[in-house]
Amino acid sequence: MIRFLILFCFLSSLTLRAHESPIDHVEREFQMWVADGKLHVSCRLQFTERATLLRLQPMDGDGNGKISDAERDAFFAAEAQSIASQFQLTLEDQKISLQPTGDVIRDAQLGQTYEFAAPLPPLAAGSHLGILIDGHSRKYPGAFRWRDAGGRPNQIRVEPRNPPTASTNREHPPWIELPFKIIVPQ
Amino acid sequence: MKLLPFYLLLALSLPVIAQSGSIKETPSPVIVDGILDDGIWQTVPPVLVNYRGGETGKKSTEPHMTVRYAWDPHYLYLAYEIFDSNLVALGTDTNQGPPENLRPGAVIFKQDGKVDVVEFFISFGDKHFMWELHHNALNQFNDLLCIVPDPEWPVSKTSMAGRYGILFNDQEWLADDGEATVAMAVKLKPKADGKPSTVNDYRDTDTGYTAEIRLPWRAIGAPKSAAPADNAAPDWNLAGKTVSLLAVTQNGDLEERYHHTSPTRSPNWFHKGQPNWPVYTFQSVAEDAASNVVSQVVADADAHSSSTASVDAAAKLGINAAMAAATFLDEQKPARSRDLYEIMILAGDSRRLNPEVLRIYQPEAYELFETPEGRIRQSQLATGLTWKTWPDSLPEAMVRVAPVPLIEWLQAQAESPTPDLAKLRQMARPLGWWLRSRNERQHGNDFRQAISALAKNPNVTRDPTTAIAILKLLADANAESALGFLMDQLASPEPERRRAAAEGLGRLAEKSDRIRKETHAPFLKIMRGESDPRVQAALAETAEAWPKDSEVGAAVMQLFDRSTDAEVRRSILFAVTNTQWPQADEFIARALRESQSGVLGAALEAAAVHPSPQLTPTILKIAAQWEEAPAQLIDALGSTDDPAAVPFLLEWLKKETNPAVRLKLLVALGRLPGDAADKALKELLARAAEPLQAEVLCHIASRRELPGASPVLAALAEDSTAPLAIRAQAVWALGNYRDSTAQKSLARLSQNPEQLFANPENASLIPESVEQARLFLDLARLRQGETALIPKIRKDYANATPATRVAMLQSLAEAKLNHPIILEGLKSGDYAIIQAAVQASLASGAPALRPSLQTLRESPQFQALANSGLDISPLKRALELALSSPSKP
Repeated sequence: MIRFLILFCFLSSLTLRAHESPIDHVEREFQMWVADGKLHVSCRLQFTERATLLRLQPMDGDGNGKISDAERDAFFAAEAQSIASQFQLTLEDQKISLQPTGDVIRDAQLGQTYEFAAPLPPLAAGSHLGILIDGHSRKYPGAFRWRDAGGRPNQIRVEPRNPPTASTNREHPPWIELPFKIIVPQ
Repeated sequence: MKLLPFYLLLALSLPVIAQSGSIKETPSPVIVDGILDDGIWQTVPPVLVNYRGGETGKKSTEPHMTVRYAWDPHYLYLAYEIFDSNLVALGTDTNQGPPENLRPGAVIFKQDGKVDVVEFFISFGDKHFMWELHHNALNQFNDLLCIVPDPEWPVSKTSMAGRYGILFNDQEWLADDGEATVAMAVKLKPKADGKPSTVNDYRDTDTGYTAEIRLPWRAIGAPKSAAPADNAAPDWNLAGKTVSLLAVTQNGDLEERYHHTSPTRSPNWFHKGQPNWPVYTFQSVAEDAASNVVSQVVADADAHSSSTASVDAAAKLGINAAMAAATFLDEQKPARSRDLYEIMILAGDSRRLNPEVLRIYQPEAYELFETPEGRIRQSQLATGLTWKTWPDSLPEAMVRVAPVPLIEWLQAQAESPTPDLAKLRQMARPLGWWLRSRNERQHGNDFRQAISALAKNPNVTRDPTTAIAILKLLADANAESALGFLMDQLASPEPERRRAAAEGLGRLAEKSDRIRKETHAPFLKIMRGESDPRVQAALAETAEAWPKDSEVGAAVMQLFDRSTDAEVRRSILFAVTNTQWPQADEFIARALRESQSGVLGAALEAAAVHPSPQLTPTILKIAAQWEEAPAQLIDALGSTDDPAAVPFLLEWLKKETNPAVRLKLLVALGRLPGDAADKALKELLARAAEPLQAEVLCHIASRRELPGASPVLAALAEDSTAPLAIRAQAVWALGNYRDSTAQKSLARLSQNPEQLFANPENASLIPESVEQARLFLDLARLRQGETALIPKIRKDYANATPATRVAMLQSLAEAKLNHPIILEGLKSGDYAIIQAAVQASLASGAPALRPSLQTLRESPQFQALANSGLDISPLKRALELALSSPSKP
């Protein structure tokens, strides 16, 4: 047993490249729904405590060691723009641009929830296939999950095409891809 | 006179509070139209206004008025309903208020006549200053600022105080605050015939009316600490603040004209009874949500169906859940209280966070832990400290969410002739863990003082078990002031006390020069005289606090000779591994001759850390006796720096089937010098079948030049069927070879990297592994001396993912190259990049990097990391080394 443990520690300490990302991982939760003719995407990011601490400095615009409400809001607004620019959303071969909407909600688990929306073209009754590629996850990998946004059967719903699951491989997938379908009722 | 602890004061003061409750935050503004149909009013239980004005604590059975309260970032909202069969309302025929928001006045008393009016008294905790408001069925409204001077105030003896000792400033009115304006409205309720109730018509039978009033925070004098931080977002945050608020109804038709909401008020002017008005705590939307979730946990626990999932779900709501949990605690319901304290434990972990992080992500927790007002609120969480029996989870919960009351409790125990020893022991473990883990942010000194005070109370330390718990706690708290107690305990006749004291001394001494100096001589004496093996083992560990002291080393050596106990000898060897005592070689040589269980392994481990030519013959001799390769022996052989170790490793490699052990053997082989190792490694590289082994061998080949290996590396790098990770490692290794094979291979690969390291078909982004393989081409050529690539590498770095940046910096460190991207890495916001950049700085030794390293060490972000309790020791060590190492040209 001791031999195994020592070997395990040894393997963990090998500084080989190109395997597990050394960057602090970011956990994600995605939610998608349709309302007011728009596709809405909610993305909750959970950084580690260490990464959260290191993000204080870029947040502290005037460098006085205290984060004012204005500095905080400006930082998260810029983050929202940056994340939106790294999303690639395609619906039935048409590229759609997501834009941040509303405030970034922060929570007790060091989570940050961003909301984005994109106007949708008129959709006929039936199923419409789309995919969301998250380029931010290429830089900051981590586990993710899809959260059902709910909705009644007679409403337009967004569902995952292949329910995404966290990778069990040692290596992360290179980025997160969320294939989805928008179901428009008759 | 001694002050009572705060938590006790709270317990004593509870009955004094007339009536308490919460005022909920409304998520959407209340529409002030007199109709109580807003969503918030459906969720707020009405408060009965039924205490008779002329008596104390007596209620009327007939309902006369109910009232509801709510708040949002701009207003306090009052909503009430009047039950009255004869509505009377008289106006003063005067208006008051700002010109754009004048309010018609209401008559509140008529000699020989009837009048109905509703009154509100509002004070933010001040019994001298308050607003008095009047409102009636005709939507007439008065607002006056009242002052109730103490009798000794000079003003109380002046005409201003009038007959009743109250200053009625009836010319004062509530000011609007920008867009936040005072507003009120009334809606008459329908009579039996469906028509609205009438005002001032005694011939019909009314039913009453409903009304809404909104009051801007600045106007009513809300606490400054709730005021908006800046004008950009003028939102008030009243969450957690309290208000004294008395509602009164005056009905001219009743024998008892006044009814109100205070169960404890004595008949007198309402103004003079402020301490007996009900006190309400403002509850945020989040707190309300937390309260709902926690109430489900309570229901489950009471039904004996507790669930970890529901406790976890509640705790995720943060400190609001802890505050809500406190309101449901019940000493008589241990199962429920256990679950509620579990919520506090999980939610209270946030107390260890950096204050700015806390303020951004969980402002309620910041307020509770980091502000004076919040620290007072902690007492609401600490009521269980006075319970006769503590649930198991209570102590840890107190450590996390109620440190101020806990410190007061510890102080009380320290001064008590009859301290509660069982509870002290119960508390010691979670508190010790919290302090030892460097989680304490706000009260480190206070805890140290309280724990030191406990050590001075003989009623605490007389009991051996408690004394040992306190000794551990002293070390956990790093309480240097209790050193005397600790040294006394080292002379105790009880071995367990001595052992705990030895462990404590070691932990204090490793952090303090002063303690090392003061205790050096007594420690040596104790070391030489100790006879109990368990204490000896602890003393050996303690000796690590003097890692370079030859006297301590000699004393440990004597102990090694004196003791035959395997545990003691192992402890000594572990200490040798972690120190630089001049006797290290001798220790290890003697231990290598041991055959005791576990001692040889510890000696080999020490030999790997402290390699010495003197030890090599013994290690080789041991290797010759082993058929199978133990991990410590592989490391020890790898550290001998002697080619004679190569055959053993190769022999074991032939037999070994475990891939992890094979990797370890390869790494050990890679550390050994000489042609035999070179040759063996080259051959292994040429026939490596297992990907990870091939990668490790490429890695070795990139660090040490293996003559004749470049064709193998070139073949691997250019083999499009080989795994990308191996090809990338081979590319980088080629940079270590100056022969034409390596150069030509790199040139071929560089001609068309996009094709040779192609993006997988249909991929919309470039995978990181492809990106890295391409970048290693440039880095390998830079390593070969192509400095023209410096600007391109800088540009590639700017576009690379964070993980690729780390890989680039690691490569520079391995090649000991300086490059502008190291400077950029030192300014990164990603920990792994900073660490790789510091390692690269250390390896390059470039003097130009010094100022940036210095800036990093002094930066707020580094300080925040260093004080976070997170383990950043590799970064700290590398940074200190980089700053202290001599510069290289």
